[in-house]
Amino acid sequence: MSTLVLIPGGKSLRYAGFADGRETCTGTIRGFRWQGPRVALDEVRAIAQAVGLLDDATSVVVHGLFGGEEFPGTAPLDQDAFVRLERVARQSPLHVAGLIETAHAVQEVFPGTPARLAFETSFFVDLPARERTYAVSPELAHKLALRRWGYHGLYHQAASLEAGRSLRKRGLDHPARILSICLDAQPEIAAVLGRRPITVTGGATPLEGLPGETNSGEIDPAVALALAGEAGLGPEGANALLVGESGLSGLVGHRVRLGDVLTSTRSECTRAREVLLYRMLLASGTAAAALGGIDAVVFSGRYASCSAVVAQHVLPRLHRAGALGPHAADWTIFAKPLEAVLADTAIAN
Amino acid sequence: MRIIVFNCGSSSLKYRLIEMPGEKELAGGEAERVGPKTAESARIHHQVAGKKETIVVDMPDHATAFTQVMQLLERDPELVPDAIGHRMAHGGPNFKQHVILDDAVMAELERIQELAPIHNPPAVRLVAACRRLYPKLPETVVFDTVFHATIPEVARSYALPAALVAKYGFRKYGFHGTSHQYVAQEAAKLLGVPFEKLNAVSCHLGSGGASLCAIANGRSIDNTMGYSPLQGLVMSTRSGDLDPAVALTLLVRAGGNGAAVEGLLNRKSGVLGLSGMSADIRDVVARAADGPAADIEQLAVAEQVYLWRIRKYLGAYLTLVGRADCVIFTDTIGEKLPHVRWAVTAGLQCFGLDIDPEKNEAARSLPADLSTPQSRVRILAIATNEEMAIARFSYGLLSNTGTQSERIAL
Repeated sequence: MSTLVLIPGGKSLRYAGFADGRETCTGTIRGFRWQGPRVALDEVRAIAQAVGLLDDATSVVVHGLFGGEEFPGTAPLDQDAFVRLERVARQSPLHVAGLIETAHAVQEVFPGTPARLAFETSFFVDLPARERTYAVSPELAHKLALRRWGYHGLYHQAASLEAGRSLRKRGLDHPARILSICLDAQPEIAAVLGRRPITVTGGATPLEGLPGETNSGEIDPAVALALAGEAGLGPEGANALLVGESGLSGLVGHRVRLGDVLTSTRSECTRAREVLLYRMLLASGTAAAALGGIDAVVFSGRYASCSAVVAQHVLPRLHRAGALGPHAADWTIFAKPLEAVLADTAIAN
Repeated sequence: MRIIVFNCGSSSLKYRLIEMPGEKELAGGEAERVGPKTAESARIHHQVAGKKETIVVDMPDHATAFTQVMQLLERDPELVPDAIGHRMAHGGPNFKQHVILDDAVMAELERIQELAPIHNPPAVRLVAACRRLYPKLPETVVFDTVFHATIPEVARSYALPAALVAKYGFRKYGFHGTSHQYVAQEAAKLLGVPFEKLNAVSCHLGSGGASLCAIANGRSIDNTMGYSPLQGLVMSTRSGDLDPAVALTLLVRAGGNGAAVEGLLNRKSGVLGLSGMSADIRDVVARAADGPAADIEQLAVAEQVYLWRIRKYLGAYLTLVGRADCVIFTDTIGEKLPHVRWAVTAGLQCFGLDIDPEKNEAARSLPADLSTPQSRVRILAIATNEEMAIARFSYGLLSNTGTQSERIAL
């Protein structure tokens, strides 16, 4: 069995091919949106054919950031999926419109090849009401489809599943209480009880939560309004500033990557690293309170290799407060890249 | 020294006359419905030595309310104040200490009043009226933000571009500092711990505003409120934490009317928005238990969201503080609602919290220790007394026995 994984982004398309669990090709097509997805997918098809990936047993997995409540799990890419995508489009217009365009192109470029959609938000569909609800009127929340989501559900789900298995092998006799820390461009922390997330730092959009490479993360809502009003940016300008010019890059003063901030010895990164680690500590304490203690800490994401920096800051403090159970003294890294996680979803289905 | 302490609300004026340093309360009361006429008459509930009276009188502004209160006190020569202490919600970036009022302080108060547009302007007008009408009485100003001046830079920073922060002053200030500091000092006395060694999480749960404060070695190191009192916990009518993108979406839908969105998030959200029936969590808890079936689901969610936010921040701050000596509950909800104290601490044995359900339910006379003997962290309910705290600070400043006023750099 072989799988072709497609991760459409704002400007580029990442792809990876897997045959019998082994990666056979991987890469990125630049100018994806500019050229149109059809052009990029033709290129991916040619690469996949060149490595002998495409045959009757091949399936395609297409990654989506936001699937809303219409997609509580992976779903076959069929007519019904398009109907559901149209329904969620108003909640995340940019992401979903791009995904619909890509999904149509997938059907054209890979006709007859079974394809599935896998969303980051699916893991969080059943987030408890106390966690997913903002303190506004239910009427307003309904009108805006306003609720909390997480945006790294695929990593959190796979990493916590593996951590849970490991704990059971070591004799844990209750649902595992897992602190899942995803180190990606927009980092995210989730508390997972057994297989169910019960808190997550993400919000109604990926802007809320921990500071990311260019995202501010959580700020006083009054500051957002002041940026739009007093600072004269207007709502769109304020949003653009908070999403694209803030976060770690805003603190450092130029564009930086999360991995560099965590590991750099340059003094310009010190303050950004301290702010990030501080927010991660608070989020970890929050998760510990939500879970009633932590049995395992697992790191994932593009920058999982930098986990030690976070672990050395957060774990001793959790331990001192008493929040770490006896199994959690060692933290683990879930090292699989997102492409491999997506390929696994195809096998699971 | 008799100090009259004023706590100025947007349409009310609470006052307490306190003899210092003996901390004896001589008189107190509240002027209600200060401002434009309402359906009911403005009135002052005045109390001296347990004797209560209500005076109906027009009070179109806080200056009039102040004059009326002073006239009530001046009926008895033993109740004439020697000094005035004011509560001020926001001290801005420059007031890092409480201060004795002078021209420079007055000018700075007027300059920064829009940082807290609901709370500061009426208090500043009151300060000005007191100066004008009683120029010989010394006045002090005690700020809710001063206790939080010790919050480290890493905790008070938003992840925003430095130039923007420098220009507009976006940072966490924290609020309710006078209350947090007062109850933490009381807790230190109860536990026999020097205040400068106390590690604690203080939960100021008011019927209106609410915040948690992380305290390490007697100093505030974080507070759930932020640049404004909107951030943090779910409050009676304030949303607390909200995705900033949602605030901006609301702004677009309101046609760019920022005041309308601020009004929505500050006055129509929180417990009121969630429940649709009351801004008071006590009503919600009662109705969720006994109310009509049709309401129960919505009310139960409102209650859960309110409690869950407290619990999450409690975990965050216990982690931050490390080995906490105590968790303190105070103000109306924290002092009077055992259900809330129970719901946010139960199951947190991992943090060393073990609440005794019987002690918790029975706690009527405060202070009270609600924890089991096995609890590593003491769980305390302590009545806040911001007026007493203001009197203490004021006496310290005026008698030169306490912290010296720090002159602001203008």
